[in-house]
Amino acid sequence: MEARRETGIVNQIDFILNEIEELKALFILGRRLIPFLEELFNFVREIAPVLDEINKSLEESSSKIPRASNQLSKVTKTTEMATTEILDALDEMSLKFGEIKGFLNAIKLCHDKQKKLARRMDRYFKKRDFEGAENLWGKFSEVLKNCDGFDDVLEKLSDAKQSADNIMMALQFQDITAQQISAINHLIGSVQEKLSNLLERLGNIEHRSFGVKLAEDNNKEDSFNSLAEYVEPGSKQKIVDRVIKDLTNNIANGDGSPASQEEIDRLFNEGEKEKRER
Amino acid sequence: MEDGKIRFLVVDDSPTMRRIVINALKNIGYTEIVEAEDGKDALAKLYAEKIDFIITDWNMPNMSGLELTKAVRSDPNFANIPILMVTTRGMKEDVLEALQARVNNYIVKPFTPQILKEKIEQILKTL
Repeated sequence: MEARRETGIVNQIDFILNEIEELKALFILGRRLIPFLEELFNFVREIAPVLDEINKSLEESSSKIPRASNQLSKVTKTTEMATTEILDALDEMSLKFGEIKGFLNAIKLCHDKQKKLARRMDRYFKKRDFEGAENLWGKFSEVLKNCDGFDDVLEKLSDAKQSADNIMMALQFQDITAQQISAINHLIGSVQEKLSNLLERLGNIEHRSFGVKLAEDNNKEDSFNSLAEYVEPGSKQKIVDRVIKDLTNNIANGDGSPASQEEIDRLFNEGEKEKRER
Repeated sequence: MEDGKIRFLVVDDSPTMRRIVINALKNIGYTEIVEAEDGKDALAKLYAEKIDFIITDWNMPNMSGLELTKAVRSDPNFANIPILMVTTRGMKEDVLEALQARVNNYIVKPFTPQILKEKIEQILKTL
């Protein structure tokens, strides 16, 4: 009886000791877990601004894509307008050259008739048949009257040259599309830069160019005009001329100062109004 | 201006545009023409050759037309040389900025040969 009681006490002590051991292990785990949890908190604290930055960068980059798309549409529109202008001028030229060919054929026909008459007159002169030669001279003069096509040829040639000049001027579209494409390149470049920076930040990945090498001058915004557009040649000039005139008048009036923004705005609004009315 | 002939300096980074402007100038009757591909090149040509009239684009690499205008105007030797800006920039702020930099006149691309002729004549009248 006594021995059974003693065994029960020993078992209870063992149980308590085990519990103490487990508690000890729990404390040790807790002690080890605290730095890990601290590290986790620090990581979450650090990652928040990075995630915010990723969000902003993606937002900014994605906003540039529609702009690039609009710029591409502008290039297409510009090319189409200029091509139409060039084709119109070529049609005009082709028409004029057709007319010139017609006039030259008529002149050649006249010239051939004159040559024949001249030969016949020559024969009359050799035979000293002056009466016969005089009769032929009448015919010769008649033919000569109908040979007067040179003025028409010159006029048509001048028109054809005008068409050639119009083609030359329409080729200004090349400069305008080049600037529009430079603006697209610039947008692509800035998106590429943002994404590369993000990748570097996220995984310490070394900067890679994705195989795309952008032209050096693309980063210089002053080397192109992103607002360049192809409009009817000279259509914007009237508005610009009015601003210049106004500024010049101010200086001529002894004011000496440039026109105010309000004055320029007024001029431009009037210009826009005129354009709409046309 | 030697023998009444005006020597033009045509500044544009686009070879196509230079050719177009030069062609238009020749059609008007001006045959003395020097080319430059940007503002820096233009300044070098200006110091090396006798130039009477500058026709410049605005947007160019290395040195823009506006920077060129400011550089030219800041040099007393060239303070009065006529400068005609030919550019795609047609905003009111652009015109104002160019005039403040003291260009003599301003043409917006695309232009016609008639506009170029008129502007050159207008400038020459004031000299």
